[in-house]
Amino acid sequence: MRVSLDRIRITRGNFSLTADGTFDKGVHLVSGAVGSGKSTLALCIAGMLPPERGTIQRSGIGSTMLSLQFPEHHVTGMTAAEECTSWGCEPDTILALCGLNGHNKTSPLALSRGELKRLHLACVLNNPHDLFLLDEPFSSLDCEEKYAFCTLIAHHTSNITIIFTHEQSVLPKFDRIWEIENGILHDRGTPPEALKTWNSPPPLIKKLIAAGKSPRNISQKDILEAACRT
Amino acid sequence: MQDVRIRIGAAAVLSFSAFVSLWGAAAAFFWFFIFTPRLQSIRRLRLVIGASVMIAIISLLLQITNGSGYSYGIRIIVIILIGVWLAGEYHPGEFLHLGVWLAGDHLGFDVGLMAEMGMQSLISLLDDLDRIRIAYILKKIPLDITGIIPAGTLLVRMELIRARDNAELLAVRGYRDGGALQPGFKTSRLDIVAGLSVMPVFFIATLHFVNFLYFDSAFLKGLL
Repeated sequence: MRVSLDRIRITRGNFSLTADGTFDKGVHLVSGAVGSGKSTLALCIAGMLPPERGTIQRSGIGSTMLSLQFPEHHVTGMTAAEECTSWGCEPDTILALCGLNGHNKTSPLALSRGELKRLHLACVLNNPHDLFLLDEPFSSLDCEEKYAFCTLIAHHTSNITIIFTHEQSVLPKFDRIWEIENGILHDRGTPPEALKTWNSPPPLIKKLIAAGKSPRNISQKDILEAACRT
Repeated sequence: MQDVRIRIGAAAVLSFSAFVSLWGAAAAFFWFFIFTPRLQSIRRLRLVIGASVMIAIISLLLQITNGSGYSYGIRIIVIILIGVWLAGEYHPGEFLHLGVWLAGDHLGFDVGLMAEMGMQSLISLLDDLDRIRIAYILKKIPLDITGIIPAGTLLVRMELIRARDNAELLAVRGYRDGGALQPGFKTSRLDIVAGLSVMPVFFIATLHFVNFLYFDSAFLKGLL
């Protein structure tokens, strides 16, 4: 199971992005500043935006799921229960999972952005897919919800999960770190070595590395372990 | 074309010319062919094709009922092409400059700001539509009559939220009416040539229109 980007180039107006590399089974982080092209790359890997040149090969990938940055774009149901059903999920289970018990008849658009994001992520991750592309999954979530999401992602080991985010505080463990800089996707490698070549890591990780306490990975647990290391 | 003043003026004259006569439409299309990037200026081909198909159906119905459908279809499609070119050449902020240049810091600023917000809303709406289409594909739901209702509801709702956010932002920044802006425009030699070239188009269109009114119009003959 792998996704290979063979020297692809994506152009949208004045913006262009080139990417080359292979995403194997595991959890991948694609980082980059706002406007660096993360969402564009996610659309391209999902097959929703053809590259101008180069090819994308998906071997062993039967099903793909893309979670767009704004959960509103995914809404097709007139009620929260209908929305769960549209994802092929059982409404009561999903609503209980994301703390929205009793909201079956509430319009998804009447939920707060954070509530809708929780509902959306619960629906997306409830179904098995070979390739998950999650665009800014942490946006609109509070810290507690971000931790819950990280726990959920930790169980996604049998497929390829690519998280596109500029989140700086709460992150899960990653198998590989990628970084978009100046319109190019760079493979920074696997942690902990990747942390040394990562040009824009979260500030806390940068400080720990500067203090000679490089964490093994970038999850909260790894950061705490590194910070408390004597 | 860089100068928004010439672009808007040219588009207005060309649209009028295309609307009033078939010869005007032909001349306007010729101008479009010479002075614009033609089909490259079409950012969303699907929308243009959709609009053209709709016009073609109406034209066919008109042709069957009173025989003027083909003329109508050609004239409206040329107007659509000019509109698409105008939208494709848009750069954020230029309507604000145009408004202030035309009508000053108060009325001009307000009208320009409204035009800017309208264009930004249109761009956001089209982006939302793209994302919604992707979401429907991911869920394997056809975007048919039943699917259009929630999609339409969502688009309207997101637009209203954006309008509220914009209003709050303007209020927070102390906006009441008008604003200070020194309008600036870049005018190339090609802009001037293209701008002057709409005059023959207008002349051809009005000549045929006047000819139609005085010599061909059964309605006017009846009045006289």
